[in-house]
Amino acid sequence: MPAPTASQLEGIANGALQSAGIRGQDAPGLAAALASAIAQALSLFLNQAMVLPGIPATAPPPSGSGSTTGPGQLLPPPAGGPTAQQLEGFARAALTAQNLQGEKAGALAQVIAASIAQALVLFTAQVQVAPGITISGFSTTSPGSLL
Amino acid sequence: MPAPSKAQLQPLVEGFMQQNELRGQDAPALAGAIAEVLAQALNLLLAQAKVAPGIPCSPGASAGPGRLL
Repeated sequence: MPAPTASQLEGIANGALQSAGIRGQDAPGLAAALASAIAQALSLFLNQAMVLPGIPATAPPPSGSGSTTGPGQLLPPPAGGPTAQQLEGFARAALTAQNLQGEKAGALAQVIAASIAQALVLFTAQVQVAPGITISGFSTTSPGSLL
Repeated sequence: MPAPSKAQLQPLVEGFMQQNELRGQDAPALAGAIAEVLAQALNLLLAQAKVAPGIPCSPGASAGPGRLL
């Protein structure tokens, strides 16, 4: 399954804004804009993300079959994920699409972009590739999970 | 360690709001909401994303980069 979609995230965003007591007339639009910007950012992240070499494994010759035996690491941004500058356009467009164009819209777009970018830096630092990926013929042959 | 939590993200979002001079009475609540959405989105990403097969391996370790899908 790909990255979370805007429709998956919009309900979460609506709930988070309501829980935070943000219930003005622009709240649904803000929820939709947040969901859209985050979904686009995560999709871009999936395209850029890279699992670093060096995952411990046991795959002895001659067959080169076995599995990974330790966790793997993700390459951090900027090479391994989008930067705030890259994401700001998404955030601006998402706000504009919801007619959120007040004098603070530009600042809010910058906040959203910077927040997503920093969250992805933390994600690549904290999340690991789970051990146990099957190896056959000196190449992984099953999908791996994140943990 | 799991995906970044709301508690980790909220002070960062608050900092970005201060840098961008978003200081209205709803600013702390909005920072909390953005942090909450991000934390849940990253949890979904953690659960949904997979490491693509095809990573080259030597007998003792992976020997090339991998991609997510």
